[in-house]
Amino acid sequence: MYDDILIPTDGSDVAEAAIDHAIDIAETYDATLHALYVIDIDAIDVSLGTEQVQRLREGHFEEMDDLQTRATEATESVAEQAADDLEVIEAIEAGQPHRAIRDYVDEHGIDAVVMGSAGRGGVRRALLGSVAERTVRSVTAPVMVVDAREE
Amino acid sequence: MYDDILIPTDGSDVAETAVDHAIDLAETYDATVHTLYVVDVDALDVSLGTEQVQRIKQGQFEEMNELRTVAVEATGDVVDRGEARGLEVLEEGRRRPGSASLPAGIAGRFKRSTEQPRHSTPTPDDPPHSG
Repeated sequence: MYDDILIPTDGSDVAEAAIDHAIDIAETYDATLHALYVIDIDAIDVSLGTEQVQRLREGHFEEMDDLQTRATEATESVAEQAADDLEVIEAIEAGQPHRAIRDYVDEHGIDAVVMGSAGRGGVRRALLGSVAERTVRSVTAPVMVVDAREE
Repeated sequence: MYDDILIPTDGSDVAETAVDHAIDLAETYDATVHTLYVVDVDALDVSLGTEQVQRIKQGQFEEMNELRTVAVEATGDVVDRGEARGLEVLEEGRRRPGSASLPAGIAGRFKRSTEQPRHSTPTPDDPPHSG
């Protein structure tokens, strides 16, 4: 039923909390695991010049070492935790996270998404929403949300 | 990793869409399926009298045949499909809905419910529903 599983990750503890689940499901279904890091363009607009943002949108991350390192570390972490016989595809995209996730799902025939959520409630949810929530609304594939709330 | 999988259903097409996934997951993980119908007290408030709402909040659905039929048809469908694949399916359809004012979610309601799960095995003489 699931041949391609996607785990979006930004390397945070919240994202990492979902890795166990994503790996377990991928191994159990003998599926390929895709680890996707999305460079959140809205979040970095302020600190970068127009030219750099434009370059990011076009997918040129080559000369941006900091970004590249952070992204690669996040996706490598998934690959490192997976058993050797599990195929892990690492990907980096730029854009709004939930849209980039949706596009990746469509373009790569992803069958299920597994991702962490900070489980924001109340006012914080109303103000910020969460990437997981937006992803659930944007993506047509099943999305498993792993609650990474600190107790 | 997953021993118990919950499939909440109101019998709608939307809910049914998820049943395939839940059953496949349960089969793959050799897990038990729990299927839950929640009587939405808020949605019923308008058309029912106080006494009836009170009874529903206390989990007494016995005399409410229409409500029971809808619930049993919804969960019975999951039972049929699960058991056709050799899965253990527990119907949680007659449980007390949680306090409607608390956004505790289904998991919360599930934990708070008081009855023991009923293990339903449909037999030719006594089908769980006619649909």
